[in-house]
Amino acid sequence: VTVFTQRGNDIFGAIVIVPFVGVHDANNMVVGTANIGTDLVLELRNSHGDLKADVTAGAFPIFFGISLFEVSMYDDDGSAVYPVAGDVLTATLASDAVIAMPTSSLNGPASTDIVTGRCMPNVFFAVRAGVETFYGKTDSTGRFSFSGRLNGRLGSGYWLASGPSGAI
Amino acid sequence: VEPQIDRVANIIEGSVAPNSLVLAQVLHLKTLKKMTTFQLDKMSDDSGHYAFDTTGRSISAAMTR
Repeated sequence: VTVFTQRGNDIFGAIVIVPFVGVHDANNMVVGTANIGTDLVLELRNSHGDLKADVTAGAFPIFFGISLFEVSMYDDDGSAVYPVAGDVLTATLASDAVIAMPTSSLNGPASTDIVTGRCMPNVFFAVRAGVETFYGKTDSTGRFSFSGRLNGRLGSGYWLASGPSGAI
Repeated sequence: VEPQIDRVANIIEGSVAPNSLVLAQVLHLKTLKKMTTFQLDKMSDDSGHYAFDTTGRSISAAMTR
């Protein structure tokens, strides 16, 4: 969001990102941004509601008015805490900042040229295979499946390769 | 000038000089490939407060890239 206003011959402006939180499966680092002045608290609970970690974070400026926060989650004993499927992460940056960690997977055997996987339901996703990027949307169960060979979105065939050059 | 954003209520608000024109541009990622730009303008009130409610913004009023 960019905001401008003018006073006399002077123009004032600000650039901000809508508050968000980003978390990765089995990674204890959380990133995001929040409104300036927000008391930011993040909680990670397991599927039973038990607290795994609660941390506070502050944002640091990176470009004009854009600020990000980055915080690592640890338990009371100082051990890193990793979000896994079934955990729920909440952040005070917005009332809807609640992320239920999905069951996730990604497979792409070169023998079939078919990429299958699973993440959150009804979300847009991008899969990079080698240097190509494929876009789609998961179904209501969080599953997706498409053929690398017959991917119509790119209008051309793509064959998965074994080894690092074919990493997805 | 820097706005506070309520992403649940779809409100962008902040403070500038009283009775000033405020222009806002919102880049909205509809998908991972499509981005829509919304242009908004409003006058701040006598106290300098401004607020934009982006609820139900018409796609036809925006530019899609």
